[in-house]
Amino acid sequence: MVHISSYTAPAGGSGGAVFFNSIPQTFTHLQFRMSLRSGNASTGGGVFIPGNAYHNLIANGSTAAGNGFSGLVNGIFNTVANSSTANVFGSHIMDILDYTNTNKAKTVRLIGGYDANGSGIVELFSTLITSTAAISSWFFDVGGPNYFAAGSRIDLYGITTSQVTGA
Amino acid sequence: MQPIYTQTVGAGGAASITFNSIPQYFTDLKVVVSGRSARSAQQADNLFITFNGITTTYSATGLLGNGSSASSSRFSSRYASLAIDAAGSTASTFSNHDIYIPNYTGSNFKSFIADSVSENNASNAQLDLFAGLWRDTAAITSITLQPEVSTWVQYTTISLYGITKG
Repeated sequence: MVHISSYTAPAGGSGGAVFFNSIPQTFTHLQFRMSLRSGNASTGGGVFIPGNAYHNLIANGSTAAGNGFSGLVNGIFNTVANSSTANVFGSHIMDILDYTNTNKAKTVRLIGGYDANGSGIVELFSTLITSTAAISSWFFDVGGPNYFAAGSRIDLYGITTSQVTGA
Repeated sequence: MQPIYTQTVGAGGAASITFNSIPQYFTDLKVVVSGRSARSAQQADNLFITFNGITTTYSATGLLGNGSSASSSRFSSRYASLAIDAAGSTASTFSNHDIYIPNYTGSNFKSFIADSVSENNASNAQLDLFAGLWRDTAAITSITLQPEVSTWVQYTTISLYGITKG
């Protein structure tokens, strides 16, 4: 697993999405590891990413639910809203398999959540990008002019595979 | 995390994928699957996992989502209930699975966990969190993964990684 690049949210925040551009096409899989919190009090903790459909399996400490949405332009997973307990950040790991394979639509898997000492969620999430184009850029957006809280961090890794078959 | 083996299914598909002669010097194993089944008229097929060619003495506990609800189930076979995208799901969509097998050379029963998603450009798709058990004390030397009903389609890729403790 090779580190590719990172984003760290600055103090004071700034609006707009966080982009990872010019993603190397030399790995087999991609993995994002994230510590996130929304930086704007007017919004919740929804994080927008590329996706034409998304599904989740989510629990909040008292109930569990499954949800599915299609015909979209974004998938949305959940992190910590700015109104939540101070200094709490969500933990999320997201895997994009075969991201350069032009015979496949891209299925993204994420496991994540947070506990805020009285509230919290845990989530298994997926989103589908129906295009078979290789993924060369990616974004994370907490919506419109909003931003990730200072201290939020996103790290991108590339994962290789062996060419030995092992059959 | 070190890549050990990868297999990619060619034209014509494959009934199963097996990794044999798994090295015994890692601490844990991880299997990553980008797969699709040829099962017709269904959004999903189910993933069978077999260790050392032995098809009995498996059980599992799952937390499942289907796009509209969540449920929990127990299973008592190698039928793992990890949903694989099938012919009834959106074209070219492959499910995404991560299976972690700690202490695969140990002398205890073998536990494993999986987080797994199928996808579909519709409201229904299955997501699974899964804890499995193989009630056997033998070291794991081979792993077979296969769809329950049909076959792997072309471009399915399964990779095996070894993880060594620090």
